[in-house]
Amino acid sequence: MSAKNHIAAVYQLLVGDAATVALVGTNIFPGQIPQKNGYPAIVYSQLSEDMIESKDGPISNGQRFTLEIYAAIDDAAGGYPKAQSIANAAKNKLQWYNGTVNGSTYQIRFEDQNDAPFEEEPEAFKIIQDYSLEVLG
Amino acid sequence: MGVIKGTNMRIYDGTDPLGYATSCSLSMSAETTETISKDNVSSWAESEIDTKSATLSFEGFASEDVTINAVTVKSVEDLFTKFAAGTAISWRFTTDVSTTVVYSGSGYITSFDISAPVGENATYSGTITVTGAVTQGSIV
Repeated sequence: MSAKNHIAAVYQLLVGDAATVALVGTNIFPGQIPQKNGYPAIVYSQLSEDMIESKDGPISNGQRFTLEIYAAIDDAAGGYPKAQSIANAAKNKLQWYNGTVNGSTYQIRFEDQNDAPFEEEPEAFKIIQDYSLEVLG
Repeated sequence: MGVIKGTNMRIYDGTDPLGYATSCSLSMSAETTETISKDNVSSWAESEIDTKSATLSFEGFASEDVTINAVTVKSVEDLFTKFAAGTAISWRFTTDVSTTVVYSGSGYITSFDISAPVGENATYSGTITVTGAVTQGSIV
């Protein structure tokens, strides 16, 4: 179970969500935005994998991942409101997700959201969301 | 030999440890009978040992798994079944490493709790009340 990249399920969920795709298209990337791609975009990355100790060895206590949501300052649809719309769409999809992706069952919980400093080059509004992800089976 | 590592000391039901255990303890006590009489009155109490008793306490993460890392373990379901049926447990309290100490005996699960708070792992805990003597030996 641990060999599987469970964070990839986040991509599958977002790219399959009509509201999110309507705002960012398929600009959903792991780690960072490829240079040739622009805004708006969502970047997902794993923050941590929590383990707790038992007498039978470590037990997975879920993973934490983050979404970085970008919207260009000069976005025709309104930079910051656009970033908020993308954040809301992603949150609506993920915040209480219980379901199966690629044969694994996941439970995702929204943890926190905050505005990050401007992205400098190219300039963009940036919102960061934190989530926890449990693999149920 | 050094200090026994708490992680390695476990409660076994027969040959199977309790699965995903996080803590366990063996508690023993003895009642005393006061033996002071009019022939040995002093300012110090005198007594002799009477009945001895023991309990084991255990805690762990709740799971239905009966095999962990290729080792057969007792699950929450196994423990509840023994509690509900009042089945005696042949318990051992040991690291199960050759030549090391083992405490053993028979007992019954006399309390069993399952706790499941929001956002946390479910846990189980319970008490085994020992019937008869606690025996000290070594793993061969």
